Amino acid sequence: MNILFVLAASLFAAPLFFLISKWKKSVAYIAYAAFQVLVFLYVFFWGGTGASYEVVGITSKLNFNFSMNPVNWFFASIVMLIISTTAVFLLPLKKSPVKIFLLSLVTAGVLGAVFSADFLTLMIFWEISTWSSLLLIIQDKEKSTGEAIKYAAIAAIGSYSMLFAIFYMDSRLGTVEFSSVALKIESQPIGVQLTIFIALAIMVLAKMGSFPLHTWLRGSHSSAPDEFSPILSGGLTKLGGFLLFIMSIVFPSFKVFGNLPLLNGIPIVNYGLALLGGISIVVGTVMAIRMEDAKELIAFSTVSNSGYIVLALSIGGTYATAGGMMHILNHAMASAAMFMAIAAVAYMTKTTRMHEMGGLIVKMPFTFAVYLVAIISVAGIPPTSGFVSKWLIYQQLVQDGLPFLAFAAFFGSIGSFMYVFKPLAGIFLGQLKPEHEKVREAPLIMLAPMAFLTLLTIFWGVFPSNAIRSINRITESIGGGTVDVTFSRIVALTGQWDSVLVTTVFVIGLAISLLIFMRAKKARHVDLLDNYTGGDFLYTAELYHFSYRMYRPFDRLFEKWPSMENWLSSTSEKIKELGALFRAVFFNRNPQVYIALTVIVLVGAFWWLR
Amino acid sequence: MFMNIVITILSGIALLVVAFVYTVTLEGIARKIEARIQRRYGPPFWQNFIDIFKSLTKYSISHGFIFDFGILMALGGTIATVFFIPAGNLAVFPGIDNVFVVIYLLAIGLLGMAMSAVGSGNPNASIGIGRALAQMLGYELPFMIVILGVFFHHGTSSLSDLVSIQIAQGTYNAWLMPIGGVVAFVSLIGMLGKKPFDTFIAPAEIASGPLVEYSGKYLGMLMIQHALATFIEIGLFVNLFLGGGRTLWEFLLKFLIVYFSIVIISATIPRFRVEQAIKFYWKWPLIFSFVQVIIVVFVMGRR
Amino acid sequence: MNPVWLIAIPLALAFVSAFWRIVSGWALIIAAFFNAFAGVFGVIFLTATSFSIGGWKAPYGINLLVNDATKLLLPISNILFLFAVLSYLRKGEETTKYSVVFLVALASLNGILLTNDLFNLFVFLEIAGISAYLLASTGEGSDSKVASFKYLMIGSVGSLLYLLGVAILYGAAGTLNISELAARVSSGQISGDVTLVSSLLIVAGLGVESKLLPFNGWVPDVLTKSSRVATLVLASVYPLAMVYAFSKVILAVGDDRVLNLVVLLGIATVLVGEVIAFGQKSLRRTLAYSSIAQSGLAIFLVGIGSVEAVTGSIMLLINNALSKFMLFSIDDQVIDEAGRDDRDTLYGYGRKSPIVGVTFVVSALSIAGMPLFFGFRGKLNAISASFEASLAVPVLILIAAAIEVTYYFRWIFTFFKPVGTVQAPEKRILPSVEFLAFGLVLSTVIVFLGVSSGEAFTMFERAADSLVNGVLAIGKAILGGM
Repeated sequence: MNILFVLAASLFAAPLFFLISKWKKSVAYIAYAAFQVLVFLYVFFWGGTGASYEVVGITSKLNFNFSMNPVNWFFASIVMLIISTTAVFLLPLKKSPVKIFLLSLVTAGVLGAVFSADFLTLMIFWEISTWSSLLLIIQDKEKSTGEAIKYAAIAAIGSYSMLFAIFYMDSRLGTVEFSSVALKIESQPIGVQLTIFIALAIMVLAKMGSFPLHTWLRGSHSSAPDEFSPILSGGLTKLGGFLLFIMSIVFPSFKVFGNLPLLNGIPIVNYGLALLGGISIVVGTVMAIRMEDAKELIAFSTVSNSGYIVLALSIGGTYATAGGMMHILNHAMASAAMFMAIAAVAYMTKTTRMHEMGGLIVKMPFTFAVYLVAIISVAGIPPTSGFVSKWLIYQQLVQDGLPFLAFAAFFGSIGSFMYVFKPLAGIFLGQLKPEHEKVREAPLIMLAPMAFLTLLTIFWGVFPSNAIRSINRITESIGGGTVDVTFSRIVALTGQWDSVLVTTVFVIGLAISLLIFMRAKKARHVDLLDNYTGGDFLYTAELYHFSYRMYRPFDRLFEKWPSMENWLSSTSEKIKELGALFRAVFFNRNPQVYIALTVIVLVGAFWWLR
Repeated sequence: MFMNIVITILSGIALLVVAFVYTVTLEGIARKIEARIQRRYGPPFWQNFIDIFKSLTKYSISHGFIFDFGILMALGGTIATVFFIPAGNLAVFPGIDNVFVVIYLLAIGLLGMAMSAVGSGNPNASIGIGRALAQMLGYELPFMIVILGVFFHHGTSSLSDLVSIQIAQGTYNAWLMPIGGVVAFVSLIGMLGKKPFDTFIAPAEIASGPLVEYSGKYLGMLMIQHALATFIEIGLFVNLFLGGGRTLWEFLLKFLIVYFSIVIISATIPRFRVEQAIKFYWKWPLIFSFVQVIIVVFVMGRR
Repeated sequence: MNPVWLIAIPLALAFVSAFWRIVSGWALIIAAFFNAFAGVFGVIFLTATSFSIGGWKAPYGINLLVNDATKLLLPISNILFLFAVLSYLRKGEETTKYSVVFLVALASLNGILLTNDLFNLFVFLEIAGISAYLLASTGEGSDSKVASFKYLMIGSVGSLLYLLGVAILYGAAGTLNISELAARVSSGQISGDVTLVSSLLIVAGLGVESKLLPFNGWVPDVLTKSSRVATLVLASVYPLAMVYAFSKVILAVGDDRVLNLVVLLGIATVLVGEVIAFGQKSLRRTLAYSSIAQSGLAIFLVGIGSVEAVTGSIMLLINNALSKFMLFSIDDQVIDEAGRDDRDTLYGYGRKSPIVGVTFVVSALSIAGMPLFFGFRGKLNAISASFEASLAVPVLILIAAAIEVTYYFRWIFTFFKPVGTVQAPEKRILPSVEFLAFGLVLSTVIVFLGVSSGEAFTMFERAADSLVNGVLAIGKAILGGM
């Protein structure tokens, strides 16, 4: 049994699940979930064998190439983890045959993409998952079509940029396989190298939702069906990370672009890309703080974290690369957990607007716990895994002396406290609305995958060495450096920390405060409406839940900021105007114009060509 | 090996006790200084001890699980962070007290308090927390950039290492990077939540903000937390920029000087609104922090 | 079987039905079925390639050439024509009223595909053109007559230019046989000026029918205003024949400089077509401009002229024929049911009628070039080949492709916009049986070709090879033999 078999099974499973769900929907969904879990187990345990396969078929000269290297294994495990947990999670949600068909196609495409060994295979499978995800996004909500078109446009920009790079590579280097390109790219002139690099970088930025191609994330994530948002944010955007990592392997950019001007020892091309990542962090953070809908907020959080990944993998260096890889893992888990928690809440309360909820911690405590751990991870606080990746990135930034990029990184980290806290306060804390009195905790089938992701986040926060050793193996296999790590201590360029020690100290601190707490007199439990109001009594809970426009003062600071959100629609308007112009010239109402054009073209061509 | 653990535990306990006692005492003295500036007498300097112990012995109300748990997290995180601050020659974890760890552990404390406060259900608390988080984005940024320069220059981000380097080379970072020192000092005022950056408490405006529903042991624990947080933040500044101390007493002396300077400044200024605070921090302190770090990275280079 | 029957039967039946109105409907059906079957079974198993007419051997007489390309295109054209005729047999009287025109069109299209003689090609072009003008006027209302008139004007000018070009070439080369001309031109026997002028004129002449810019002013009005069957024929079968004729002639006798001009014009066509299509609010207009763009794609690849490029051209041509057939049928369904086809009417149509929705998705994604569909394979070849010319070519093509993908997805989203609510679910609309049948067949073909492995594609490569090299080889053989 090898990956080809699994891939083929995935592709054929799509119409199969469609047919089964026409008969009985729940059976199809359960089958899909079971299949994904099995694939995940297969990938995780047997996915790194190092085998490679070539399958004939794309065009006369190019074939599909697959490999099962440690790199493939790493990314495949991450995306399959997210997909399989989401597949189990979505079992109680609304089902339809179309959705299961498209979901299966998406997963088949993703699976093929992460196991690819050449750019064209990657592209083809990525495209399959892109168009099926586009169709999937519009399934539920009416406003989704307006948003999905932005996704279509930006995805098109990215895809065709990558196609350009692929065939350019093919015409200059004669190959598009990762390993062969890596060998041949160094001997090419700088113009060729730059073109390919930039064209591929455009695809990375578009698919990860990084500045300046980030405007699609907000609408697509928020209006996608709730079960699909975790996969979109935790799985599909990470394919961009895969491409970026492959680029950093294939283009030993410090050698390749080493003749270009250097900034702090980093070639200007890489620095430019990292700068775009940095801007993405800042923009994502600021916009997230201003959002009122939980899913839009997490969408901008994805923009911000994609910026971290782009930044980390662009500046190069052992620690930044390890940090970037770990961040891909962390953000995938945290983002999926956040979306799942919001989806669970939405399943119970039928809304995702934060100011319409409140006080749900008493009704949905486990969901709260999942969400809490996820946001702690996104904010980068120990002892969750989010801290590890951010710490590694900071170490590299400090060591290299990059103040502007470090500013962006710090901004993202500190700003994330603000925006992750808002849904927590708005949804789970505060006053419970009377209409939510009957809300119960999410069903077990939804809690279990969320709990699994939470446990993993904490596990890799307390024992990061486990994850880092895997990453070390990967970077070693491609000739990079490794992070110095013992059982619990990570030694970096300008410092070291011991995760078990920090966790232990934290537990001791908690124990001491618990001691003080218990020794003091027991408190009397009162209702939430029994609050200090300067002598008045509270009766209506809705009025006292402060969540809407919680950061209004901050918001006011950025009101006059130029917005990137409209560049797409203004471009589309320009194209329509251009179209009207063309129509007036070439497709005029008067046929005399056609004859005139014919004559002009003929005469002009003759004059030019002779 | 076993002796190491015992020494660590003993020095930890000692540090915690010193931090608590010293800071609360200084807080009391600070109240007296402030009062004298404002031409009053002020309470006795041991007033804060009385406040804390009295609160811990009183009954109180609770608004639910998260209300309790948040306080535990706040105090627990802060206590945990105290262990990582070297105080002169009293360093519990020499070598592995990374500054980023300190800053983020402190964040756990803030997060715990935020959760607990908002969990009380009082809108004043939520307003206060919203302001506190927004303001944090203001004062943390110049600070982080300045310390980036410090780490780059010295090649380490461990607090105890930085202290020993400064002692060894004889100059403090405050003289080496004066602009950065001033910026960090200004950020410190924000971190402590003293005027003009105390809008998140804003006693007369939002009924003490996050603290509105706390009484009894909760208030007591929060006061302890506040004192320890003060110790951590000022201790951070003293260790990073004023060379810590060869002995515990030297450290405590520098601590006192910094703390009282801040108290004197705060006693005479009214408070900023949140957006004014953020705009203030993002203008000159941020610009100067960039100036400083560019000087460090491109002119001074590594040590 | 001598392929001349493919031309003769429909022509004969056309005369019959002109005089005997009662059987005209049946005549059309018989001819369509015969051509379809003969096109598939009679042609595919042919081994001989050249068939002379009237006993005169080539190059003195007219001969019909059956190479790999025609073996591919003839069946498809005839089968699509059959589908078109059958689609509205039950519902409309169109086929009975205009059966003569359809029969003549069928005959001439087959003639264009088969002929190997330039003047014969002119004759068939004229016949096809006149049928096309008449078909274009079949729509209701006066708009279609105006559209047809415009088509008539530019079409006439075009065919005159073509004739002039042929005449110049004949004067210089002394022969009208395409293969022989190919050999003479490539061996440099004819002066550069002559080939330049004649190629230019031929490009202009054939360009009118092939929807090349700037000769394609007639396309939007004709495709949007004519009647149902006529549109299907004009939009899916005609381009196959016309662009093939363009390729055949230009690759054989075209001057190299003119081939560069063809690349330029082709790219311009693509860009202009896509940009205008982007802003259209009616589905039919969008499809019309999209057809222009697709023709442009096929033609610029011909201009590049390598085997890989022409392979892509043929693939794109066939993909366009199959997909546009379905797309225009869908548009007909919508107009039948709702009277209009602007965005508002189409909201949620795909949910009300899932079959229509799925076929729309399959054909739209195939034209947009998404993997798992046939159009993607063609596009890959096209992009790969476009790097052979300057670097600007792939950039422009990809920009146009990005625009195309965007507007097709916009239409797909319109089709699937959720408009019903739980209280008022969308009511179901059933498409016609014919649509179901043909839609199923064509969609299956598109998906099958999209996922089949590389070996299936040798047939396209052989077709391209026969166009690029085969014609020349035959010509050299003729020259050598003489």
